[in-house]
Amino acid sequence: MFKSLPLAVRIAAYFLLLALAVSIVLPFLWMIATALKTTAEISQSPFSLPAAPNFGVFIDAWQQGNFTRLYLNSLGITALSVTGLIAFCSAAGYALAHFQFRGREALFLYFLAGMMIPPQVILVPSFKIMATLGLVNTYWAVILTYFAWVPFAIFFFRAYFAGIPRELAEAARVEGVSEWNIFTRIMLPLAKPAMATVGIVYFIWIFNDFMWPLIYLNDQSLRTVTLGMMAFQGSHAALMNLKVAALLLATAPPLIVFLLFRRQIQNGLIEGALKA
Amino acid sequence: MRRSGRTKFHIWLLLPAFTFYTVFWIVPAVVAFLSSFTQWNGVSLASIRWVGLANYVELFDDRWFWNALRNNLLFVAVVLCAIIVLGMTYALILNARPRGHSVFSTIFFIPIVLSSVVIGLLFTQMLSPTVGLVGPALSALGVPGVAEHQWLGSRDTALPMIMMVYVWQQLGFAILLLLAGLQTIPNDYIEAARVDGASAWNITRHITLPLMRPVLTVVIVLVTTNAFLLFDLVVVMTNGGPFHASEVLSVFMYSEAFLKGNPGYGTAIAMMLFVIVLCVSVIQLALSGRGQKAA
Repeated sequence: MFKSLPLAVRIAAYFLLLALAVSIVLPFLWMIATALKTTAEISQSPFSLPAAPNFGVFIDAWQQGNFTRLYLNSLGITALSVTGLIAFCSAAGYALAHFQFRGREALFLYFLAGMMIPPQVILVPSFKIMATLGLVNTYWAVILTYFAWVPFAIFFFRAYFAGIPRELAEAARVEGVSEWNIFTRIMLPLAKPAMATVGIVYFIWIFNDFMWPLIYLNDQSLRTVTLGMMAFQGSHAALMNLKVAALLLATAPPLIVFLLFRRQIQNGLIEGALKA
Repeated sequence: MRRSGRTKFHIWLLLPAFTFYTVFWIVPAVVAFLSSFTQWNGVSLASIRWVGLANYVELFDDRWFWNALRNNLLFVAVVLCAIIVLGMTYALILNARPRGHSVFSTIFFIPIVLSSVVIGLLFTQMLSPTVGLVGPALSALGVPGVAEHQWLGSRDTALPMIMMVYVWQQLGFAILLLLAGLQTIPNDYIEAARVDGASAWNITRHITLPLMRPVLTVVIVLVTTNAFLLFDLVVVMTNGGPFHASEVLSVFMYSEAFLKGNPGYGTAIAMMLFVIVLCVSVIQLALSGRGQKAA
C-alpha cells in the first residue's frame, strides 16, 4: 500500500518517521555519552564523545543513589499491589458476570464511578485517613491506596468472564464441585490472558506512580525509584555525569522489560484503553 | 446462572474489592467534598470549622487559581491538538506499512513505559543552560544567545517546554491506540474504493477518518482528562515556577494543601478539578451516544 503513494508523499513520510525516531533515541545516546564523560568535558565540549569513557560512574551512581534499596522498594510495593488487585478484582468481576443477585447492576455502576474520581481529588482526605490509621511512612499506605484502584480491573474482568459460557460452571455444579473450586480450578485458569493484561497495565501504572509515594513515603529507606531519583537529582547539583548515569539506571530496566515483552505490553494497553 | 438464594458465595467474591474500594477511594472522595466546605489547620481534627462556601468564594477571588486554570486550559488545548494531529499522521503512515515500520513503532512506543518523573528529570538535564543538549545544539546551529537560556527558568519558555516534553511522552500511546483503531477497519472497504479509482487522500478523508470516529473520541477524552490532571512533570521540572508561570491546578492544590497547610482550601481546588473531569466525561458520553444513534 505504501509503495502506491506518490514519491513526494513517501519522502515526506520517511522524513517524519526519522524525525520522531531521532527525537526519542537522541536523549538516550546523549545520556550514555554524558554519563561517561568527566564534568570538565561536559561543559567544554557538549557534543563530543567521551575521551576516556569512565564506566565506573554507573557503579558510583548505583551506590550513591542507593538503587538496590529503591528497586527493592518499588518492586515490592508494585508486586504486592498488583497481586492483590488481580485476586480481588478477578473475584469481583466473576461475581458480577456469573451470579444473579439483587443490586448487581447498581453495584457495577458503583465500582465504575471511581473512574470519574481522579486521585488528585482524594489526595488530602486519603492522607488524613492514613495518618489516623498510623500508616503514613509505611509501605501499607501506598499499597492500600493501590488496592482501591479497582474500577478498571473489575470492568475488564467482568467483560472477560461474561465471554465464558455459564454452562461450564453449571455442569461442574451438577457434578457437585464446590463454588470455591469452580472459581479457583475452572474460572481462574481460563482467565489467565485477562490477568496478564490487567497485570501489565497496573504494573506500569504503579511502578511509575509518583504522587502517592510523594505524600506517604518521607522516610529515606522507604523511597521508590521515582522518589529516589527526584531526591538524587536535587542532592548532587554539581556532578552532571553522576546524575545522568543515575537517570540511565532508572530508565534501563523498564526499557529492557519493554523490549522483551513488547507485544504483551502493547496489546494490554490497547485493550485496556479501548475497551474501557 | 442461578438465583443464589442457595449460596451467598458471590458476597465473599465481592467483599475484598468492595471494602478496599469503599474505604480508600469512595470515603475519601466524600470527605473531600465535605471538607471543601471547612477550614482547618490540617493538624488537629478539633480545629475543623464549617465555613460553607467560603473556600469557593476565596477561590474565585484568588488570582493564582485563575492563573493555574488558565495555564491548565492552555496546556490541554496545545497538547491535545499536537497529540491528535501528530498521532493521527504517524498512525496513518505506519498503517501503510512502509519498510521498517515495526522498528519505528518499537522506538515510538518506548516513552510509554518510562515514568514521567524520569522523563522530566532527563529533559531538565537536557534543557540545562550551557551543559545541556538543547541550548548548545541550537547555538551550534547558529541561533544566537540560546546557549545560556534558562529554558525552565524563564516565564516565557517554562510551560511550553513542559508541553513539549508531555507530547514527547504521550505521543507514542496515542499512535498505539490510533494504529490499533486503523487496523480494525476492514480492508474490503479500502480495496473497493481503490478499485473505483479513489485517491489515497480521498480514501483517508472519506472512509478511514469517519470510521475512526469512535476510537478518536476515546483517545481525545483520554488525552484531555490526563492533561487536565498533569502533576508529575511540573513538580519535577519547575515545581510550578518561575513565579507560578507553569503552575497547573493539581500543583496549585498540592502546594496549598500540603506545603501551605491549607487542606480545606486544597480540597476546594480538587473539587474544581473533579467538576472539569466530570464535564469532559459527560460530553464524551453525549457525543458517543449521538454517534451510536447515527450509525
